[in-house]
Amino acid sequence: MKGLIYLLKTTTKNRILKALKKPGTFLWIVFIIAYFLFVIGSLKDLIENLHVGNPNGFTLIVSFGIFSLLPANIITYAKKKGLLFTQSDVHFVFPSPVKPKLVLINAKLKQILFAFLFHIIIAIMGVIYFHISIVNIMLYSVVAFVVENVLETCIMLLLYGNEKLTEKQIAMFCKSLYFIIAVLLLFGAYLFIQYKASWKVIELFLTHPVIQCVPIIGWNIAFLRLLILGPTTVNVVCTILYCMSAFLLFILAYQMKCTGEYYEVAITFADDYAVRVARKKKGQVAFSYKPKLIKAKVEYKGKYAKAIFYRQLLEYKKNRFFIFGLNSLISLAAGIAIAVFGYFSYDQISAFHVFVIPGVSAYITFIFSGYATKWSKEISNPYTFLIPDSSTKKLWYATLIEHIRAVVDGVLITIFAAFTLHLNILQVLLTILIYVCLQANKLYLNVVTDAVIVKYLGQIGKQIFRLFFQGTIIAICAASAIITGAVFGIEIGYSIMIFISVAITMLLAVIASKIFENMESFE
Amino acid sequence: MLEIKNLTKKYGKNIAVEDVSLTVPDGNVGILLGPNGAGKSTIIKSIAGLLKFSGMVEIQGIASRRIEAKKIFGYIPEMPALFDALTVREHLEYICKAYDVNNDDNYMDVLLERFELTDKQDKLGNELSKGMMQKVSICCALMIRPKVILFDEPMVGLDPKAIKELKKTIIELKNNGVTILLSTHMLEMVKELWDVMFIMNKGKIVGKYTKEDAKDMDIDDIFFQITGGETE
Repeated sequence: MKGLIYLLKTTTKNRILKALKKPGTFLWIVFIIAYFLFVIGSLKDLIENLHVGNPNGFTLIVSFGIFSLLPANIITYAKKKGLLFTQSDVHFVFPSPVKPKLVLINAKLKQILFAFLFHIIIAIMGVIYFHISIVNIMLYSVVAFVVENVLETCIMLLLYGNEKLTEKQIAMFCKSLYFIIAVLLLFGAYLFIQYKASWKVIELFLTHPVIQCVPIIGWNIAFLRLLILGPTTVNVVCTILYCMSAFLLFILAYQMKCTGEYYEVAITFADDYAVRVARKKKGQVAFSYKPKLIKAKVEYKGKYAKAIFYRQLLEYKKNRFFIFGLNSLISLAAGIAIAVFGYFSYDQISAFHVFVIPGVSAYITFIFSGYATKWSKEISNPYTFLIPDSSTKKLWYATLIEHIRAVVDGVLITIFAAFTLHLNILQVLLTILIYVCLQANKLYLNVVTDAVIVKYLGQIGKQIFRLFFQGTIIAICAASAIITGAVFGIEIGYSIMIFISVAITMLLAVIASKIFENMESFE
Repeated sequence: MLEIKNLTKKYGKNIAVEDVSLTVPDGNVGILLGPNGAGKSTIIKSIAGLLKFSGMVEIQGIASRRIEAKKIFGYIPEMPALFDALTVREHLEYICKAYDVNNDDNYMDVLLERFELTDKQDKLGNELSKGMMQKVSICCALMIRPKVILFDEPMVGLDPKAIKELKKTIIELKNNGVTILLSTHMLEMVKELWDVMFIMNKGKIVGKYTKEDAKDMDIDDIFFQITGGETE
């Protein structure tokens, strides 16, 4: 235990000292405080508009939080997830002479500290916005913080550290929990039908005695209602049950044997987490999804730089969804949404109908600038640079498949919407071309920012720069379309937009190919 | 003494290690050899209590998962993973707290000096090279003053001087009665160190030799004879 306390104290101290040496930290602190003040400030209007600025409203909102979060947390622990372990823990903490239960509590401690801060914010808001007396809110904050955390920590220990339950039994437990939640939601649906559709149904649902009688989750709501609103028969009985369950679970967790069998699962988590952190450091989206690969073959119809293309093609053929990815799904969804929009609102936007898809495409490109592709892995692979071919060819063949993917995604976003927006064949082709250009801009811009900008501005600065530059490109295209459109007509404006987009893409490609000459730029 | 009886480790339906039994007596160096995927690291991780397994592992007669066993047990993993926010010295201080060992004789400074880390002692974990991290990992395991110590590929990433120092340390540990189990591919590096050799293949121990059994036979010859490979 002394080791864990030392670890917590020293790492916290070192992290704070290191952060204070960076000027960016102060900017972040100001930004975060300003953000929270903005959110809390805007909540005032929301609370007033919903007429929930009273103790009853407070219990409703907190009950909603309990109902949304507590079952999810329990399921997470049952699946042996929800706790953060690092590879350093695996190396130094797991083999050390510390009780495995303490290791779990230590991992949970970060969440408890976060919950502590959260309770303070809730208490302040309770007094200011919900007009709860200071004594009442203090009583609730202290008692609820203690009981809730004791109970949740015990549930976590009993589920995460359990060495008796089999995987089947854990799966059954999760299914039962899902079943209970489904039944409760059905009950909510029944109330919805019975008492007309209004947000009052949520109040009716969360305050209903049936809900308060649901073990742990409902008892927690009853406990909250007792402390804030005063006693009723239901909330007193359920609060007693809640406190008894916390006590009982504490005894069970204390007595449970735990020799550290969960370490094996925690090691897997730590390895995955290390991969996610590494990806995040590179500025990529930290997905932990591991796709299942299928068998595939490819015939290499070329040599030197062309081999990069065929290798990527082989990798995509092994993918169950081939070249279709998250972007394809988003493009398809956006295409359908535009089609529906066009069907109902074509008359209102008929003059600008050609700009709808490019506008949405630009927005998607702008938002998903961090989405990693096989291409982004290519630039960190030394073999790419060792292949005996020109940097221009290597850049082209390393990105070719991404351009093909962009064409496919461009078709997906355009094809359905084209009917309801009344686009002719030429307009459809040009719209797809714009999508491909936008994606290519993003691709080549990423090469430049990875090589140059990251050195001066860091990862976050790089992302902001990308967004800014991508936004500027989009703004230039849009502005030129609007100006020339206003003077020479929509068709000319549209053509100018495509011309400028292609020109910027070509320019970025030339710059990127120069940077792509050696790996030094990307180290 | 390190004793393993009938250790079996499965990943789903795949058997990684099957019914392995081995003993390394006090003051002996056991080496665990085998081709890639033979199950060496799985055994080491099982002994270190990091994996679930069936069978029995005892350290000085105490079940390896018990706190008493962990207090006298050192482990150097193949890939060192230091805490980002701890300095080299703080790693050793953490070990002192976690294992309740004192540093009255300035053993910490002796280790730092020995592995050329004195001038790096204020560097954070994420500021070190792989070789430096490995040295810190070794120092941390030695700081425990273990009775049983496991080395999983300890020489990977070390410079020649550090390898020499590590070999010297292993001989000293052995002379002090410490039980050592060392898993490696670098046959050349452990030639003069070993007392008992376990050769693994496909999750099983396929050969066991003591120094006396081997007589004048070369370690390479024994290894390739058992695993079916060829000597150069």
